[in-house]
Amino acid sequence: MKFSLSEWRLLLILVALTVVVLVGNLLVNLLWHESPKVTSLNQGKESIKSALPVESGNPPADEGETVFGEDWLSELVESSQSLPTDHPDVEFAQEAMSYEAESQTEENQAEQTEQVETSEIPEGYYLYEGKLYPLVRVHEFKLPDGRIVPLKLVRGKKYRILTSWRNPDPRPLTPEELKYKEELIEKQHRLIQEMQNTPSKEKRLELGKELIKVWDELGNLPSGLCVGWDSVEEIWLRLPGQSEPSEVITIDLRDY
Amino acid sequence: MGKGKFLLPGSFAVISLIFVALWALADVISLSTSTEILGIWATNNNSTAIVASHSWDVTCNNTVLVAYSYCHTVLGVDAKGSGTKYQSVDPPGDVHTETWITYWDLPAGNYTAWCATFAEADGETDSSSDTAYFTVP
Repeated sequence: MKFSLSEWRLLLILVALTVVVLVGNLLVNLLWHESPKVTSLNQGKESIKSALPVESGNPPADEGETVFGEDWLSELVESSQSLPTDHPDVEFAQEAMSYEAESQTEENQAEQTEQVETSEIPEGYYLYEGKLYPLVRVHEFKLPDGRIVPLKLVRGKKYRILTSWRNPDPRPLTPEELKYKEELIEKQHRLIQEMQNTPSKEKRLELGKELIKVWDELGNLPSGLCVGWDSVEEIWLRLPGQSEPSEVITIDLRDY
Repeated sequence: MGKGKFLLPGSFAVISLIFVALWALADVISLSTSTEILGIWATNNNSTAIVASHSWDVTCNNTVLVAYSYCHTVLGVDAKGSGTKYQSVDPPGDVHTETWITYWDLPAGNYTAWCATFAEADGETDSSSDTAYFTVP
């Protein structure tokens, strides 16, 4: 089979276009993947494990193993820092709320900015893929009693937020409550298993919405045998390219 | 060469360029969760503590709202949910880890602890769970 000159040109144009498309895709892909990727979950787990006194003679139980007789919690409480409410990065109530309104306005303005040069980054912002985002974010932290504490979180730092809750009215559940709770427990178990086995994104989303309803209902039911909980919540707002937080700040809200 | 001969490569080029442009501009989001039971312990108050690490990790190229929730269950006995929490996440994303310790007044017996995490952001979902067996003497 012989190609004429025009057919060769056509073929060359097709090859050139294919190369352009492939290089374009490769560049987009590279740009995306070169952006700071998710710090591995294992790293997160390691940090949590290091935050807990499990290595000080109290190894955690493996599956099927039971460990009793150790009060590691008091060590956890002792190891935590005092409430840094006067810390410059943590501001409460009105001040933080007014800041939030201000920062959101600035954020809206900033998001309209297209393709900002690196040298033009204004103070208080960081640049990500040509858009400006504020370095400070007000996080509305929900306390166990439902109150909202606005926390001013600075990007690049890690925050450890301690909270606790004790059941104010421990009592056995009534047979009706117990029956309803058992139904919810079975349902949530089934929903999670179904979600993990469902390849369809839409179906998972639907199951997830149902799961959240079930968990909210469980949260609203009397606590029965659960007499309380403690929580150490870690929030790390990564800066582009950051592999480690610049600072770790503990905020103790247990008695707030 | 007739105009018809340019139809195929022309369409190919236009469609490819649109595809590349849409790909570059589209919301890209990666969401994963992790659940690990770190230990089950007895406290000084004779209650049982279930300690689990619940994590979610999101990478995004636009601001997204993450909804997340945890649950600790003593299978066939009782459960405690964290309630749904929300967090707005700016690019490149956030790492969020919570060690949740629930305390239970359980009579002597053999039990199964089942802890789970669920997170949703911009239509993407992920869930994870972990199971451990324990005995209250």
